[in-house]
Amino acid sequence: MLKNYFKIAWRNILKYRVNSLINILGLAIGLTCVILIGLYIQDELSYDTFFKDSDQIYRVNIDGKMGDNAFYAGYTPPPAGAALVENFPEIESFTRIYRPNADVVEAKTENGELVFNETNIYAVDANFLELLSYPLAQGDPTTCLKAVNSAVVTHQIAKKYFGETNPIGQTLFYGSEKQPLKVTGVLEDLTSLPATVKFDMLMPVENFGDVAYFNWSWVWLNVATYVKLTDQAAKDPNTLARLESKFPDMVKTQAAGAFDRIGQPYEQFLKNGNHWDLHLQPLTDIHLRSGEIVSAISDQGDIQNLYIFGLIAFFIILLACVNFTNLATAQAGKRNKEIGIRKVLGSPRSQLMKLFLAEALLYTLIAAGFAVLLVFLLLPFFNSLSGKTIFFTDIFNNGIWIILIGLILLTGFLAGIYPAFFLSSFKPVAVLKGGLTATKNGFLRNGLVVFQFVIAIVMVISTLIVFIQLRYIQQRDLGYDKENILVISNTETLRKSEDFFRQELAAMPQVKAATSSTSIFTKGSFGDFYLPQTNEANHAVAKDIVLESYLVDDHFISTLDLQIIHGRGFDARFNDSLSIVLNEAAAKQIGWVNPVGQKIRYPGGNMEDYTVIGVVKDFNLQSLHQSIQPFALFSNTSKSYDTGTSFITVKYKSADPKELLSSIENKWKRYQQDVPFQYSFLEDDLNAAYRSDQQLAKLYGIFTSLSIFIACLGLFGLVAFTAQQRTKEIGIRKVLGANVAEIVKLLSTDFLRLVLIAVIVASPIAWLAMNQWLQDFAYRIDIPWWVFVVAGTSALAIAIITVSIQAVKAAIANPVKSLRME
Amino acid sequence: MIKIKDLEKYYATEDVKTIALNKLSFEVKEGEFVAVMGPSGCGKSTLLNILGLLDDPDGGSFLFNGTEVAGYNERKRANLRKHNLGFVFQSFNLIDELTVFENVELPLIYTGVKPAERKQRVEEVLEKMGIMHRRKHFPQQLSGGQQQRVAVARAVVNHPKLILADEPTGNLDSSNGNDVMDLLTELNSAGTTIIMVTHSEHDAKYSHRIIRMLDGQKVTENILSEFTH
Ligand SMILES: Nc1ncnc2c1ncn2[C@@H]1O[C@H](COP(=O)(O)OP(=O)(O)OP(=O)(O)O)[C@@H](O)[C@H]1O
Ligand SMILES: [Mg+2]
Repeated sequence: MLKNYFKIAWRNILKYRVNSLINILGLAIGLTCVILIGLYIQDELSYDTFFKDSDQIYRVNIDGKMGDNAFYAGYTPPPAGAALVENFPEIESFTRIYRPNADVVEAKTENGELVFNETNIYAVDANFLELLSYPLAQGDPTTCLKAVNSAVVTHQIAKKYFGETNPIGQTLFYGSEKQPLKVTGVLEDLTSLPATVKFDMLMPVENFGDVAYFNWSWVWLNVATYVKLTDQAAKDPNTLARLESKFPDMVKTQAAGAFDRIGQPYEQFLKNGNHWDLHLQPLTDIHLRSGEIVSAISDQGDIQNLYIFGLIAFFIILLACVNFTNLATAQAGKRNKEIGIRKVLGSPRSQLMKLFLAEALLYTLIAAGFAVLLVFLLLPFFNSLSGKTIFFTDIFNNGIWIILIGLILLTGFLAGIYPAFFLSSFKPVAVLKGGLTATKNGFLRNGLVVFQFVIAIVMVISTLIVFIQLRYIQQRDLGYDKENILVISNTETLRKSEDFFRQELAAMPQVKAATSSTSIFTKGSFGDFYLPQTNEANHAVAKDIVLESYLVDDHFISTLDLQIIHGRGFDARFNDSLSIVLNEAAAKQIGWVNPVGQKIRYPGGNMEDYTVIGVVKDFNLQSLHQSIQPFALFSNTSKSYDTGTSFITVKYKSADPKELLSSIENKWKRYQQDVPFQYSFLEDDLNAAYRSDQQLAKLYGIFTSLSIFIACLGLFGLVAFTAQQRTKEIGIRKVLGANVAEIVKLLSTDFLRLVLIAVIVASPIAWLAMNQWLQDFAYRIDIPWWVFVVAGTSALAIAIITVSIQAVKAAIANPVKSLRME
Repeated sequence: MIKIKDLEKYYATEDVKTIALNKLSFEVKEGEFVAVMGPSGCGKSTLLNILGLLDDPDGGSFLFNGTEVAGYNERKRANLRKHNLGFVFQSFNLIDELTVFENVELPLIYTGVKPAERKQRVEEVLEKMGIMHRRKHFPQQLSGGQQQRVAVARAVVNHPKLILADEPTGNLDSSNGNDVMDLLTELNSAGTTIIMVTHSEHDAKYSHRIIRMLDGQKVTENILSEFTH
């Protein structure tokens, strides 16, 4: 029986070729999108789930407020992990990650020395691989990080340094001190691993003095701590709340000393409305459910994007189903004879319905076949666009194929159910007399066309706004000129000769200026806690402030064209070792009436008082995702802290920096043979911050175009159908003197009116949705009115083209031919 | 008014080439009523389509009011058509979605007549055809005879100089058929030229002259009544 249904359905597919093509094409594109989006979502959801006992592992976060500075971060002070394990039996173990600055790594091979700058080395506790089961190809996870001089590298890194030689037991030399490390473990390639934390190399945290030095500190937030709950505790849903309720008391006992040391007795600190709370976040929530929680080591996405993509997938498949419904009911006029005869011959309604559902299912099956093929072909492109490494075979993993079958059935059902009801309801006599025409169903069809275009137009408007917003933040004034700026890393390795090198660069004819600093925009900054000083004239100021800062030379402000609003910058004529330059935001937050000449104490150092010598206009340290933070510049003669890093930033004149680069590299080699020349352009570094936004925007744009395409496909089919249905009428009208333009107008106006209605309905919806989306940006555009005009007119234009192709075809057909058919 | 000479029309299908009109020549004077007769497939409808400027001849000459129109493009033909010609078909060819009134009104819309005048002229012709009371009905709600009246009304509403009728009574019973023939005769006496294709000797008697065709050629002409200006 079923076979029979399919046989008849197949004949009908062949009989109505244009419609079949439209249906299959629409459904195939729809299913392709859904499968791709499904794979994307599946990949996003799978983050960190591959770890053994992933449901027992949590990241320790901190929700802190110190003065005006409030934050929620995936970091903890160094002693937090140990304190948690000590105080709570439910917490079995902890491990910590510290991300040191980029440094050079060297290997001695038969062909001489190989040196590379490694930006992705993480320092971890010895039990790191035990707690987080990254896939080790060689080595023992329980012991490979025990020895201080051990190193675990990924396959790629091993290959880079040692080629085909077995890396185990080989020696790597770390940093400019060339500290020898023995390779004790090799990790599988992590690139396609869905892990929030990825690295190229691991080494024991003991190698980094900062972490040990700050082991007293509950304020130094530079390590990430992961804890593992006992099996039992993890099973109990109340554990988390119970544990977290006990954390404040523990922090109070543990952190008291540290807070005293920075001049903020903890009781007083809390009384001032501050807080310092630890929280546990499930490991598998980190990737998608981190929200405001910041982290520079974890790849944290936003679950909202998944909702948006899910919604898009749903709408796209709905669009394709609507096409099917519309064309099927429109076809009713053509098929009513078949249906009538079947009924006269005694077919019950249920059987007819089955027939139509079988037909829809057959269409969907064929389309699904094409969709799978399309996914196979498009996956490399999709991967490069989305930055993922999804394999075609993933379709067959994790039950995705079951979902796919479900999807096919659902789509077939969605597409076929209405036509089945509608077509099978015809009264046989009326049908045979030919009294029933498809126009009877015009209202629903029109509604569905409007619905399709509302979706498509909302997506067009949203995409436009996304692109405008991204452009806006990329082009917004950062407070400095980001063009023609070259950043050279690792200049601390030049030691005493760093400034000679800098002077030599500054003297080059293509170079405007050069400066050296402990960090530079996009490279992170050193944040700490400071105490603005008060005096009689000036008491209404903030008691404390967290300042991000760099240590810079005298040329920093001029090289980067920062604008001094009050006072002066650092200057060789003065001794500036106890001077500080603030940005406007810092000055404003502290609240001095006249900041220049005021003092700031640094309890994290040796309680020195720094005198404010100037205030610069605000500038952005990072991308424009982040708003401007209170920021300070210290002179590099101050030695107020030591980050162990240095960069030379060069402002150059030439449009084409190639030549400049090679001559700088030559100079570098004369100063430094051991460390490779490493540089980047500031503009590229800034743009990197927008890469994931752009990836999303591009994906979004593509899905939008496809949804428009599917909607137009449906429109095309409907117009073709209408034209066919009205062939006789068109012929008569032409015989009576109608010209081509009049016929085209006749066929188009109704459809274009529908699209116009859709524009009107879609605009406010898109406006509301996008206004919501924009709230997440620190700097955002006002939605420009012309977006709606552009989206509306382009939707209309596309619709006009679609409709006209068919309408013109119908209009120029010879009337004699069409009348002859009668 | 119409003068055709050596008119030719071919239909080429995959295997056979049909000669539908084979060097056909004749003349029709203004005010004449001519019947065209002949066996099925001899090319009558083909001829009428060409005379009605719906189709293009493959050879020969076609003078309409002294102007050569063979080889006119579609735009020019349409223009000539809507101002000078009226059509009556065997199958009426009314538009199902439009009412009687709207069907009759169509030619006036296409020639750009103002709405007020359109209403007046449509009502006038519906009155004359005796179907005024049906003006709000749709074609399906009318009998065949009534439908053909509407079709005739539509053909004449623009005051065409020439009416082309292809078996206008073919789908009608004899009484309805006679009514339509009377209408046509009446129009003819008012000055409209009529060329009518028919299979019915009875209907042909209403005309001044019968052109008999066979295999795309004219065989004889019977003059039934002397036509004078
Ligand atoms: N579009 C076409 N393609 C091929 N052959 C055609 C076409 N139209 C007409 N013919 C052929 O041309 C010839 C003349 O056809 P035409 O319709 O003019 O005949 P007719 O005299 O009107 O016949 P009837 O009295 O049956 O209406 C016929 O042999 C017909 O088969
Ligand atoms: Mg004929």
